[in-house]
Amino acid sequence: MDWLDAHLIPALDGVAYGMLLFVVAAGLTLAFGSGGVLNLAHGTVYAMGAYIAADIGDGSWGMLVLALAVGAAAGATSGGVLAVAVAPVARRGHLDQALLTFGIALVGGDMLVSYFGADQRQVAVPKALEDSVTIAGHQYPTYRLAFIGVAALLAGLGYWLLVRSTAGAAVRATTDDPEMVAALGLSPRVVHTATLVVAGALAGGAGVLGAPIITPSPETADTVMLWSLIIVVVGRLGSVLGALFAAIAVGEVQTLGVVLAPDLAPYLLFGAMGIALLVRSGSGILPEFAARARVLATRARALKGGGA
Amino acid sequence: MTDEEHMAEVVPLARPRAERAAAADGGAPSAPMLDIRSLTAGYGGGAVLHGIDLTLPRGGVLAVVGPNGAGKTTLLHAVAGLVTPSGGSIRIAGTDVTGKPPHIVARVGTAIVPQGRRVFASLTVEQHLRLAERAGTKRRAWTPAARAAARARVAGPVWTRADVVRLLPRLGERHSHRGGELSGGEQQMLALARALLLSPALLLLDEPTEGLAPAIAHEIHGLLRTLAAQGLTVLIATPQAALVDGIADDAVYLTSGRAATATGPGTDAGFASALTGARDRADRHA
Repeated sequence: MDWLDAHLIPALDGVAYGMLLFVVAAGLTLAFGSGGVLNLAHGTVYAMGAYIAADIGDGSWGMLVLALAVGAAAGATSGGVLAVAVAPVARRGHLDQALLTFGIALVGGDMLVSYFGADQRQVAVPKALEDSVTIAGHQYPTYRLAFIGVAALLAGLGYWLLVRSTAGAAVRATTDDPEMVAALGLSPRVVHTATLVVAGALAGGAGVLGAPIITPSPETADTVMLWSLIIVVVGRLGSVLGALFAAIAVGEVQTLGVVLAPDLAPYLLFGAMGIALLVRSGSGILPEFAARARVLATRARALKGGGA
Repeated sequence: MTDEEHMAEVVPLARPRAERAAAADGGAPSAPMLDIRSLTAGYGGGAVLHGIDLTLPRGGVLAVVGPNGAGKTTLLHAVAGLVTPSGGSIRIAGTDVTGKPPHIVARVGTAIVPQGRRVFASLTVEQHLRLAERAGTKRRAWTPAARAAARARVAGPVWTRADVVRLLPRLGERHSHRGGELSGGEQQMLALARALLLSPALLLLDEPTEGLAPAIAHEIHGLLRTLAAQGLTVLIATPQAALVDGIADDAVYLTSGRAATATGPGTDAGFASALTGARDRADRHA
């Protein structure tokens, strides 16, 4: 009980970080699944949303809503622009497309810095969310708690859309077999563009809402991109549910993990990622290792049997 | 009542074979449903098909017979737009679809049941049917190519979700199962339902009974016979002529990407002998 009491706050922070990263990474994993584009400019869209929140937000609810609308719209637009930019190299494979999005990320990042400045920005949140609430005797920022709720709502809504709606079915079908989706008369490019637009809106919106948690600075885009990539890879490319678990895990490693093992802090995330990749079932390294061990054991037994 | 009689009764669209020709409207009325001229196609620069000529009248059921590697799948994929031809032309009801992307060809009025079924592993049966029905009824034409395809559309018999579930009751029982969880026969039925919901005028079937248990294959066979009797224009690929007996009325024998046509009377013996002649001609060609 004492242990839980001492670590409640970092654990809760981990959930907040995790939900924030999930909203960003869900779009990334969907865009990869349905269109095969590993969008390395995705973190830049988050940073853009965060800068918009810092610029427009003045601590009033109206401005927060306006910032959310502007951030989501700007994110959606950048998704559309990205879809158009990637189209000419669509047949050239993942690497060419990833390289193109990386270029766009570098240019976009520079544009953000030249427009919004190179300083880390503070983000004003509405008064009602500025204070702290008491949870089991601990003070916890209201904004983060509210954010967890909103992000959970967003995740639930997104999951429902993806799993229950026909549009979501089209996206998942495109992930499974884009040729057969095309054979139904649906243009995979339209599905893919729509996915990139929604993914962009999610990242832009997450940037606005997440700005007080992962604040806008010239490093924000890279940090968010790196964490999202880890989430997408650990949660399996294209899997939204996998991304949810991976995002919470990454959030916890970054908060609870750092409290529990401060000396290992710089290595924790990558160590955890390595372990997750090793343990993950399917065609991972461990099952192959086990299969080889079995073959060796069989041979050893055969040799022994032959010798006796 | 046998299974087949049962199906013929419950399928709302059943019509006598004589009315077949009237089944598909649209396109140039005098043009054959499918007209392929000197088609060459292949993968990665290598040609699999070497100058195929083939004509399929409206309401006709044509079998493409040939061994593995003869180019049957390449031919069907070229028609569906899944393979880009390197030469020749493909016309559907007079509309040139050569080299058009698959979603445009589908909108003109074709549907494919591909080899290996290729159902969507993560979608439930219900979602397959909903997605296909939506794709078949709400075609939004945002691009000039899509608008041109809409104008050229050849209408086939209209299928609703209720129709396909009546034809394939197993799908109704399995509606909440994912594509990846179905048996081979159920997947085949789902792939067929997915294609029918596009209400196509031309149905492309690629080895529809491959890898199925004999009883299931027999069931699929009965279904195809029902569909053929309804006036759907069908191009069906099969390794053996015997597998399309009672379904196809014409056959093309494909060998090393070259074809020869046989017009068979549709009976077992006549069909087989017509095919032998066609095969000999194709072999001489090759």
